[in-house]
Amino acid sequence: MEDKEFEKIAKGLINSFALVIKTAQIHHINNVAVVNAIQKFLSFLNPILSSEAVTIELVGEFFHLNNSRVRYSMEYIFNFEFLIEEFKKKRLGAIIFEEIVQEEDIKTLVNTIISSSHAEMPFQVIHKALEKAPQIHVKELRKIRDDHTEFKKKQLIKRSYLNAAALTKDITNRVKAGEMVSLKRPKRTIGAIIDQLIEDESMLIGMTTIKDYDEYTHYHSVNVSILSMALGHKLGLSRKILANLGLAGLMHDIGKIQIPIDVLNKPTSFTDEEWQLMKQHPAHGALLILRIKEIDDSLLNLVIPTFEHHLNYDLTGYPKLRHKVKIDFLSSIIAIADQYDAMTSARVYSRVPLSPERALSTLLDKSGTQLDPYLLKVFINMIGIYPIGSLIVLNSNEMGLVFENNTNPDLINRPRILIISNSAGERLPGKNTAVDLTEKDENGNYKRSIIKTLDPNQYGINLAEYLL
Amino acid sequence: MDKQSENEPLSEEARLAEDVIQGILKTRKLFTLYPPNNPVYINASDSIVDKFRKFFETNDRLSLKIFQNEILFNNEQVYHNPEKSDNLALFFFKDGLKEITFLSSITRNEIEDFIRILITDFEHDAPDDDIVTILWERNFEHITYFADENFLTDVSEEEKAADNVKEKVYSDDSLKKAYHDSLKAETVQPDIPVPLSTDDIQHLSSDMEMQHQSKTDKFVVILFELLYNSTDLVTFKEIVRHIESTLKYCVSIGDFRSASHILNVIKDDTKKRVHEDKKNIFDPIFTAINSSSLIEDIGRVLDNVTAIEEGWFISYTKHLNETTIPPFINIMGEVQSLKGRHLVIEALAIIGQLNIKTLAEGLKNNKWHVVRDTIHILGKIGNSASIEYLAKSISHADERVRREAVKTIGSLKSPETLLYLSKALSDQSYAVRITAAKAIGNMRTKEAKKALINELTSKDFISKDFTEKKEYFGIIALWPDTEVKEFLIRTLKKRQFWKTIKNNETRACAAYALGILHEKDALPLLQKASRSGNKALRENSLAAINKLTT
Ligand SMILES: [Fe+2]
Ligand SMILES: [Fe+2]
Repeated sequence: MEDKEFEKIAKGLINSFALVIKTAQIHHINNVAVVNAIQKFLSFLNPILSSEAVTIELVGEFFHLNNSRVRYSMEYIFNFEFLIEEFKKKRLGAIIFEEIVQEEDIKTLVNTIISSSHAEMPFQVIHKALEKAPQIHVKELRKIRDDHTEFKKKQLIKRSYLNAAALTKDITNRVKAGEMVSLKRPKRTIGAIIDQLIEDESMLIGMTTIKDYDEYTHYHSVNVSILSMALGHKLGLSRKILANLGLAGLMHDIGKIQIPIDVLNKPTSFTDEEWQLMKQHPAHGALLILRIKEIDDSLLNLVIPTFEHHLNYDLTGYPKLRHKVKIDFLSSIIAIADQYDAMTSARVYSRVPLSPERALSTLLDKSGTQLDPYLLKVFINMIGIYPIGSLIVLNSNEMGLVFENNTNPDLINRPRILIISNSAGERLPGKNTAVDLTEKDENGNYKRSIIKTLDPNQYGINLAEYLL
Repeated sequence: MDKQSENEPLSEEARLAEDVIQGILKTRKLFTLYPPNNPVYINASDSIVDKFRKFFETNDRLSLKIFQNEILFNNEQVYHNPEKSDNLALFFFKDGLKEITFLSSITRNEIEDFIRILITDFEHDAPDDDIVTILWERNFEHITYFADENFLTDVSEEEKAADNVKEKVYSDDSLKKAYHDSLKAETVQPDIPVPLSTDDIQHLSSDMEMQHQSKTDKFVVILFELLYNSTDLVTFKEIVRHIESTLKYCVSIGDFRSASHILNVIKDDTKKRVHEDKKNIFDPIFTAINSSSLIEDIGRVLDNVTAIEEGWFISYTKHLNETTIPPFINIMGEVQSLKGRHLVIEALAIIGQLNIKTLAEGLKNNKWHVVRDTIHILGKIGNSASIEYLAKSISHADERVRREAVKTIGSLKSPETLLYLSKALSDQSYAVRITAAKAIGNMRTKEAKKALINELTSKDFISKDFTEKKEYFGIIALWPDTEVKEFLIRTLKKRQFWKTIKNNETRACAAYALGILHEKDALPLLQKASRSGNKALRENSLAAINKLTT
């Protein structure tokens, strides 16, 4: 098969399978929407089965179709991520279709995948149920993700995050001292973060709820870097461009080192003159970066977003331009991440930050004027309606913090929650409990649902503390 | 961790692994010495692919553990080198690479790419990269690795950072207060975020496409914004230096659009915005673009970058001064690609106008094709003064040069043109003579006609080859006047006792020319000649009659 042809079919096959499961999570298996989705899937699957068996395998963070890696692409990325999550939750390593299959076989497969959701050993349930569909086999996911590996992964993510913060501080100091800066170390750190982002985006976005008041700019830079890369990853940007984006995020406010510290830390609002000074930081930043690095392709991708990150989508904002040229795509990404993180952080001049949801609705007000409306849509989809870090109240009167979004957009109001207090408002002793809001009781009703939200900043409650 | 294993023989598997490593080392060396299309390179590649294949006959992965001075496979030492230099283990180890795994489905391309990475000159070609960042960026499907990121980190720095954040844990009281408030809070039903429409996706996809294009345009805009905003002279000068390096960078990647854009802005825009006393700050930029080192760079770019836009390249060369003529002539001799040579010629056709004399120095070059191209350029410029330089080239040793010279001299309208062309009629090469004759024909003047008839009636003309003679007569037929007509009839009638065959050939040529001229008066004469015993005369006369009667 031609490479391009293969890519197209492979993506279509996996995307349509994801859609089958998604629709079946919401509707009954015989609902017309589900049946249509199954037909679509079969229109990809059966033509291949007429000549060879089909294996859909999860290897690391990628699907392989008959041993070839299937690339991510923008239009399918949400569905791909959803299906990867499903495979992991159900401990599915591979699904093998041996011969031509019928609608009923797929129904059996999908039903068992869905009903295994809260089983102790979901894979074994699926495996057993498939005795009824002999053309379909499943293999178990090799690496068991037990508490220990989960813990280790968290440690590694934490380490990358703090490493990036320390690194940003170091770069800032070097630039201040007028030293040359090699980008080797930042590149390594950013590379590691991107790998972790691909594997578990929630945990890293959770880390961005760390807002250090004293070292605001360093943590802010790391947060902007992570949020930008997460958005870039959602768009399916290449690793190379993601790395550019990550570095640009780390560097975007470097120009602030040339602003007098008493202006930077001024607790009251700025005078006109001080504002003029503040508005120079993008230009200062661009110049500083030009000083530390020889010109090449990646330098352009650092200088441009640094210079443009306070320019608006409609070309207002600062620095004022003589020649108005459309804002660069990477700059627009950084701008959204920058504004979101700034709004949700406590800073010298605005002690009480916005809650994540208030911040999102503020961003939405700027859609199409200050911010790129298309990118913003993707960003909001990524952050979710209950962004990671949200303080929520459940119908059980328990309080919790959102720490992982549901990858199924139709179940976006059912994230995973870290319970922080019981229904009497008492702090939970010892370890906090994570719960999945999609869990149902024996009558098929959801065990817990979100009914209210509170502003975590008003109470100084921060998800980051639970992560560290 | 060093261990010597001289006494223990390696297991069969480890021996195959060792083979692969030795193969990689050997291939690495050969890859530095030969280009990819060279048979040695191809053989080296075949052989390493074969070594991998042998190993994978019995294994599905080759996992190598890296230490400072050794590489282990299944705890067996398969590479050892205590030296600091040319140490493969150390090469990986110093960047924190701890393990590298090749999977059995590895492709030939991946193997070749991997080995090419090993010959990267990091210091010069990739100062911001190491082996790990490059492997990461390549993201090989069948080569995985494990790198230790810890050695990059100052752990104490990290712990300090963690402690900093942890300190701010909230109190039980605030949790209580939150709980209390939660009971009174309003129940919410947040909006589900808007899904992406096909239109949204299309917008985003086209923006993403653009990410693969060079961003020099935007970068240049920013540099000039910075320039106009700079408030002190030191910064102003610094930005001008950045503009200069950007310009050089654009040239080095063959982006002549941005390069000419920069120069245009400096010349037009800055006139309006920059104060008179700052203008000379731009001088170094013009020194740089006219330096022979930058012209040499252009030579390399023309051979290596295929996507050069001719229009922009031409606009760029319009900014150069006459000092760039000699280095451009030099690169004309170096550039290998057809398109590259074409562009150099176009450039010299523009810059050469600034000083014809300097351009004409190219005629003394010891490469024949440089001389030929210089002649061609002088012809393109079309300045009749260049004829004095070209005169020498009609006696150049290389025929191709002489032919170009004759063609060019013919195209220059100068009083001496005919003199040099007539001289070329006696060139030793047929092609040069014919070119000269055609050039004379193209002049269409009385003098030209006379020169040609002189040639046709000269003593030696009769002995020339039939084809050549026929060409000449075809040319003289370009003058449809009585003098030519009479000359042709005279020639057709002419009989002689010696060299009869040669004379009949000449007569045949005359018949041919009369046919071209549609000379009806010659019909009786042609009919007579068409009955000649000489084949050439007979056939050409018949052909001419045919032309005259249809
Ligand atoms: Fe900023
Ligand atoms: Fe910022």
